Amino acid sequence: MLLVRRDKTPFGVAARLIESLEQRGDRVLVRLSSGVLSAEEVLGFVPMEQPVPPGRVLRCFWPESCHGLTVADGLPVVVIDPDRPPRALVTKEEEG
Amino acid sequence: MSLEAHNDSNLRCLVVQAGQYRCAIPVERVRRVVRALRVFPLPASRPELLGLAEFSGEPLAVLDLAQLVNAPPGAAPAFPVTVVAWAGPWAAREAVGLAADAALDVIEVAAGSWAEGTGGIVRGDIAAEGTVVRLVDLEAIGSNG
Repeated sequence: MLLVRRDKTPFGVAARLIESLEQRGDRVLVRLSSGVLSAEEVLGFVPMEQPVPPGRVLRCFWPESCHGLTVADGLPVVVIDPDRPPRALVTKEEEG
Repeated sequence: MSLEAHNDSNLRCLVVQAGQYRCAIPVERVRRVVRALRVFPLPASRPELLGLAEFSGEPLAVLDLAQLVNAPPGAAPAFPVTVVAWAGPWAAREAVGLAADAALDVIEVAAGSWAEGTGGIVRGDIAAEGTVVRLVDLEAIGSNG
């Protein structure tokens, strides 16, 4: 799983979903078949632990979808659903 | 366990400071009180949700107790805590973190002694320790959008 940081928070992307990674200025673009995500920093690749589904409380207070939650390197991680990534990570930029 | 189960029995509660309010959380809902966990914010979340933290190797949603009870902001806390508690209906409870300014005391609340609350997660008000303490009903967290 690729760990990236966006707005201070770690997000995880299953490595098999990644088509390319590109540093562009102060951003990292993560290209998936379903779109391009923008992050501030690559934290590394870590083993993919089985994520747990987001609970009722989180769904109540956070109106975004995700594949699940996990912990990697002591950090809480939101594992991205490639078909419905958090809007804050989605970018219109294309690879150059 | 729901608060209705305590209509005929006393209720032991953990009292915490949240902004300018004191809040009472039934101890049976409290899993642990720890020094404030490091929280990672989630973009586009509602303001009550501070973010995610790691607790005992598991991800934990952390809520701002002061915002949940509509407490006016207080002074900067010296020893903020996270109360790891059980939210939701008891049969389907899930762990959440409640960020609070301080853990203060454990009190015994007489059965049925709480006045009607303001709605939401505040079930009622208790006169204790010379002040008003808001009785928090964690069963209500996550039950509405």
